[in-house]
Amino acid sequence: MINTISVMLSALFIRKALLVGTLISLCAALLGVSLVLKRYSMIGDGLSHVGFGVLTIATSLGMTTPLYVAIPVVTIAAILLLKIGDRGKIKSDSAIALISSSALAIGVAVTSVTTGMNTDVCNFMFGSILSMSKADVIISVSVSIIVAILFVIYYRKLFAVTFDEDFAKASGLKASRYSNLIAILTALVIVIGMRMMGVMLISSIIIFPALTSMIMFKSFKKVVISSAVISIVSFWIGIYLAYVYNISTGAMIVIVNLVLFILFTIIDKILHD
Amino acid sequence: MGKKIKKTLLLILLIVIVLGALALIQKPTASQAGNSKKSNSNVKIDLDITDNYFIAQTNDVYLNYKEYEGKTVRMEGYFYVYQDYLTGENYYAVVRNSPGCCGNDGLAGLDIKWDGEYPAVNAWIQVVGKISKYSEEDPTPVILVSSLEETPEGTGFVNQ
Repeated sequence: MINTISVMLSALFIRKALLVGTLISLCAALLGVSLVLKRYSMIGDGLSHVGFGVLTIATSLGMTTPLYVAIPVVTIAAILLLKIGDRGKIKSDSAIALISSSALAIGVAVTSVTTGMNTDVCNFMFGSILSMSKADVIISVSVSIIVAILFVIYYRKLFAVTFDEDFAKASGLKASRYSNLIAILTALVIVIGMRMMGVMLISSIIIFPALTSMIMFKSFKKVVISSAVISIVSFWIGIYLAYVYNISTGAMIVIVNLVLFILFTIIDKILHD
Repeated sequence: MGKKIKKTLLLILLIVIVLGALALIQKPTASQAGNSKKSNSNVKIDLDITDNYFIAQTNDVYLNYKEYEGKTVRMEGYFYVYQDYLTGENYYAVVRNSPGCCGNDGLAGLDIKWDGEYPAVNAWIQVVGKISKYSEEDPTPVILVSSLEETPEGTGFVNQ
């Protein structure tokens, strides 16, 4: 195992992937707890489809770093999704389905009349953390650090808004501001996480660590910490196994998350029996 | 036994089992070294594009060309010829089959330029050469091949 790891680490693109992947896994896990508790698990899926639409349009226009366009557009979409779900006649799950399928269809249509289904498009759909330009690495690391710092700074307020938004409002907290903050941070993580996991799988690294941790731990703080650890460990094990078995990295990370979820469920069952 | 202690012990057991399983998993030595048939051993190779991460390594050359410019690379794959549909000019490459968007219809690899005689299309070859680009107007990476030889066929389909 040590020899295999040293061979892996000799490649620069692996070291870049480990750095970016670790940070993205951490941020996704931190936000995942709030999203799962607020019943917004599928928002990751919806936003990733919006991101796909934006990235394919930007790529077909010849942009070398489409993340510059994707980040603000997906952020706006995240805020819109929350507003539509809260106030409009369309409920949040329908709003997610509406926006995500429309964005995906627009992305596929634009791709089919411009570049066609090429490698870039495939990389957006299934992830390509091993193929990142220097600009992508810098943006991903910077955004991850910003997300993590904001989460830590506003931890108490995000906790209040996650558990009981009405009580938070009644006690004078500007709950909508912090709900928007969760939306913005989620959008940022989705856009940079799409590089790693792809449109199809990004929501799994948001949902799985939180659900796995909630099986074992009951306090919010313990769930958040455990979620972060599980997410990072799953990423490292996933990238290692993907190398050993020559399987897609994104898919292997999800499979490791699934196995850990099953193992934690079994442990919980043993404890309660 | 207290529930908390039991939970801790079970988690520790889980960690031990996972680490133990990972320690037992080994990549086969031949493919760990990558290309099992090494030649051109006198030339200092900066980058050996192997079976592992073939797609990732070739993509990295396209994405981060400046980090690879001038480096000596060794790679194996099928010899491939394609045409520029505007000029009709032939271009040559070393490729392997890879997943495409809607099936296993993708190709991954790098262009090559060789002064000698090219082999038959789809011949399995090993090339050694320096990474460069066609020109300032066409910055597509290309290997300026110093040695090209046909070798027994290796792993024709790669996943990552």
